[in-house]
Formats: sequence, C-alpha cells, structure tokens
Amino acid sequence: MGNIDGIRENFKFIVSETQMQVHRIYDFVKHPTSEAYEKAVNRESYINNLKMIIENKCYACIHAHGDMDTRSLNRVRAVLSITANLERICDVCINILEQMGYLAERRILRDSEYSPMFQVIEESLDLVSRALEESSLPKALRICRSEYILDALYRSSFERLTSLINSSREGAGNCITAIFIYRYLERIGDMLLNVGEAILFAVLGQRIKIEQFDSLRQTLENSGYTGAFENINFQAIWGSRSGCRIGKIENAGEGRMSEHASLYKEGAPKKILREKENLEKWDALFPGSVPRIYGYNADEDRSSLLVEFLSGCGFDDLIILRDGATVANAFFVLEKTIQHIWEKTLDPGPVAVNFIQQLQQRYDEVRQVHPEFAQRSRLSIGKAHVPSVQSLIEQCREYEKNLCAPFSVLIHGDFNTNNIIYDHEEQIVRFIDLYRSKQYDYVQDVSVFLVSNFRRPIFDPLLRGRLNRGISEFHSWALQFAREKEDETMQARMAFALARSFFTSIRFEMNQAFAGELFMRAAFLLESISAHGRTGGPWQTFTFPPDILYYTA
Amino acid sequence: MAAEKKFIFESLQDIKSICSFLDAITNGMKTGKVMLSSADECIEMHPSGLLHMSIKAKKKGGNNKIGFKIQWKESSSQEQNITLSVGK
Repeated sequence: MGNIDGIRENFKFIVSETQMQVHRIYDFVKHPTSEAYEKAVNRESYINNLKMIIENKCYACIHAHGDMDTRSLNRVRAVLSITANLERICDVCINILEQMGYLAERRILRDSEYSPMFQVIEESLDLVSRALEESSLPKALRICRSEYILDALYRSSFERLTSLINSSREGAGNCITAIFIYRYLERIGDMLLNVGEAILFAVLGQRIKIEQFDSLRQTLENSGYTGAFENINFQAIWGSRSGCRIGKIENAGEGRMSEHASLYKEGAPKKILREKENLEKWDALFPGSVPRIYGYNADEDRSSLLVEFLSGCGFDDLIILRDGATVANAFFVLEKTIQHIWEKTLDPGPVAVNFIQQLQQRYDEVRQVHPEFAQRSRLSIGKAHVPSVQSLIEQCREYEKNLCAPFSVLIHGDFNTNNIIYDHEEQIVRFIDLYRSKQYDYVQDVSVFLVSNFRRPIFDPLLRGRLNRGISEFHSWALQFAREKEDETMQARMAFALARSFFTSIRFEMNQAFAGELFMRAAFLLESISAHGRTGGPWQTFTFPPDILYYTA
Repeated sequence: MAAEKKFIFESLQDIKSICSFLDAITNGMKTGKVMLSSADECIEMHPSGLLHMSIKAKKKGGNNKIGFKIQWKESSSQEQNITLSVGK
C-alpha cells in the first residue's frame, strides 16, 4: 500500500471502467435491452469499490511519505479529485438508465442529439489518463472545454423539447423525461470540467479555474509572452483581502519575461483598472517607486494585470526579522520617501475626511465575525452610562462632518506594512497594491501603517517590542510632519482614522482576547471623540493618549 | 435553581471616566441599590448588612493590578458580588 505506481494502475482501471460504462449507456440509449441494463447496473458496485481502493491508497501514500514533494502530492490530490468525479459520472450513467424506463416513446430521443453528446464525453474520457501522465495542459483544457460543448448541445435539445411541450404535439411527461436524460448528459460535462481542472492543478500546482486560466493566458499574451505555459511556475495564488487573486509567476523556460518573476493579479474590472491607472500615475510622478506593468487584460467580469515582482523585503517581515540597524535604516528611507511624495503632491486646499464612513462600509463584515463587539448595546452602571457602539459610530459620523484636513497629498490608500517593499541594496522603498491611492488626508496612511503593526497576532515580548518600536518611530515622524505643516487638527483626525482602522481590523482577528484589545481601542477613541464633540470645543485642542497605539504582550 | 445573571463590561478608560464609574457604584451602594444593565440583562443588587470585601493589588514589572471585590449573600442560598478591577 501507499505506492504511487499502485495508484496509477487502479486509476487507469477506473478511467477505462468509466469509459466502458458511458459506452454501455450509449448502447442502451440506442438499443435498450434488459441484458444491457443489468450489465451496467452490476458494474456500479465495482466502480464504487475501485474508487474506495484508490482513495485508501492515496491517503496511505500521503501518510507513508510524510516528506512527499509538492509535485507528487499535487498529483495524488488530483487523482483523488478525478476519481471522485469519475465515480459521479458513473452514478449519472445509472440515473440515465433509470430515466429510460420512464420513456413512453423512445423516438423522442434523437440520435442526432445524444450521439454528439456521448461522443464529446467519450473523447474527453479518452484524454484523462494521458493528460495526467503527460502533464499536458492542452489535453486538460480540452477536457475542461467539453463542458461548454455539452452545455450548448443540451440547450438546443432543451429548446426543441420545450417547444414540443408548448405545442402539445407530444406528451409532456415524455418530453420531461427526455429533458432529464439530456440534462444528465450535460451534468457529466460539469464533472468533466472538474476532472480537467484537477489536471490543471496537477500541472500548475495551483487551483485555477478555467476562466481564470483563460484570463491569465490572455494577460501573458498581451505582455508579449510567447513561451509554453508548462514553463510557467505559479508559486502562489491566494485570495487576497481586497478580493483579488494574486499569484507569483516565474518563467522556467524561454520567453520574453524570463529574467523577471512577475505578479499576476486578477479581480473585478473596476478594481484592476484603478490599480493599473494608479501604477501609471505613481510611475510618472515617482519613477521606479511602483512595479512595472507587463500586461493588462480587461474582460466583462474579470480583469487581470501582470506586474513586476519586486525583490526586497516587505516592511512586515523587516520589522520582525532584520537587525536593528537595518530596520532603522529602512525607516529612514521610508520616511524620506514619504516626505518627498507628500511634499511634491501637496495640494493646499482643504479636504473633507470620511473615516467613519469607511468604518460603516465595513461594519457588517465586523458584525459577522464579532457581533459581541459590533452590537454592544447601551450599558448602565448605576447612573453612569456607556452608549451603544452603533450610536457612538453615528455620533462620530456627525462630528466628522465638521472636520477637514487642511491640505491633501497623494496617499497610498492601503498603507499596510506588507505593501511596502524595502530594497536594502538599492536603499529604496517601493509600494504595491495601489488601487485605493488618491489625493486625500495623509492621516489615513499614517493610521493604517500604525494599526497594521498593532494588529499583528504576535505575542512574543521581544518581537512585540520590535513592533512597538516601529509604531513609535513612525508615529513620532508623522507628528513631526504635522508640526512642520502646522496641521492643528491632526490629532483629532488621527483619532477618527485610528478608530476606523482598529474597528475594521477586528474582522480579521479570530483570537477573541486580541480582537477585544482592538475593539476596546476603537471604542475608547470613539468615546473620546464623542465626549469632545459634545463639549463643542475646537478640534485643535483634542488629544488622545499615545499609549493606545501599543500593545504589551 | 435561579438562572444566573451576568453583567460584563470591559473597556479602556482614562482616570476621569474610571472615577465616574466608581462614583456611580459607590453612590448606588450608599442608597442600597446598584443597577447594572445592558439591552438583554438587568441586574439589580441590594448590598446591605455584613458584606465581604477584598482588595488585592499586584505589581510585577510594568504590570499593575488593583482588584476590588465585594461579596454578600441575600439569603443562605443566594450570593451576590461586585468585582472591580483596575490596572492589569
């Protein structure tokens, strides 16, 4: 047990058994006989057994080879997924067989309709073993595409049969049974799509849907890539928080982008377009500060972007992993760079702020994860009262309407530490993920940076100390910037912005106690803002204790 | 058995706010009625007679804690208490 060759043999059996079962059903549809019926039904338990044997062997194989390389592991996972789908195809075959028993008039099924469907299915099944053995993308894609063809064939049969029902020329029951049979053939297409995608997974090492694959291919082609797709290594494709899928792509073979790795981003068209426009804007204003664009592809539903993969170290890792001197240097470079960007793009006109509105836009997501915080009701302790969280938010939203930043700058818009890349050799910082960049209050970037450090679930006192030093350094620098610019309401806007950042960060935190720390800070700031607002005092006099920015493990 | 009633409020506060919460409780104690309520729960307490009080303080490194606890029984089977904690 537990050897890959053994699995391979059983796998070939289940593929060929599925092929035979489909063929038996095809024959039965053409010439139904009781012998053919029994033969097909009898094979069902054999196929089920085969599936179980393969499953057992796959799990035993994974268990026995704890150090199995990723490629082999992916292959075993693909075999598991394909086997499950083949067994479902065989189940559907039996469903077709049973439906045939309900047909009053067999001629309702047309050879010209079902034969092409069976042919597509048989041709696809014929490719399965070889596609996996040869790691062949074209064959995997052909299997995937059989689903489209079966859909189209089903649609035309469906239309014919529904119009027959409407014309009352044929018994409705008979037509419906025929629709069921065609529908089962169409469902086999869905399973074949899963089979094809499992092979794509084995070849590419990442789960990728066929439409995403098409989108990626289009983008790569637009970027001028002419190499084979098998030569591309997809290092990681993961769902990012912003709802885009991101993957790192490296070219292992020949091709135009062989010297550079690149990042592939795929998401909603508006988002991707904004990201592209912002990258272009930043590159024009501050050449080299953002990744170069290699390719862009816009579709109706999904768009994609292929950009340079920046070498260097993310600020999130840097703060935790690098030595003190390197970190100090990185902060120096970051602050100089930001100062330059803000000075150069400073627009002296005031700009209204909307931090609480941003909080409200994410309120439902927070409530979903932590209703105990988001929905905290009004509390009374004797004659002392604590307002409900929702009413606090509403009050602060009102107060925010009277608050403006004295000037605006080009902000990053998502200034998390993992969006800042420091290149120690070149002594530069560069920025990624710019789709939210706009002319706005710099306090937004400051607060997001600070809270992106705070909210990291790191509880080792030594590492927490590093995060706290990073927070302290950047906060002091931001205060200094505010003083230089004579920005008198910075503290107040900072309280709004921090409340927003602390509150919205709760939705990513499953650790109840730590989520509570984030929430209590958001609540404290909202209460302080609200208390100050009630006095009618000017925002210039508002302050909050800087302790709120630190967490001690 | 009577259902347990619980009131929990955990927060960050400045000294001024903490004093106003403490005042609210001591004022209630003086009048013989301390009310604690949220949208779902309302606890009315009537501290009287002989009450058990404990004050605990701890200081370790940078961590400080003051615990203030008052416990009493209304009858032989019922017990009530108020716990106040300050610091961490």
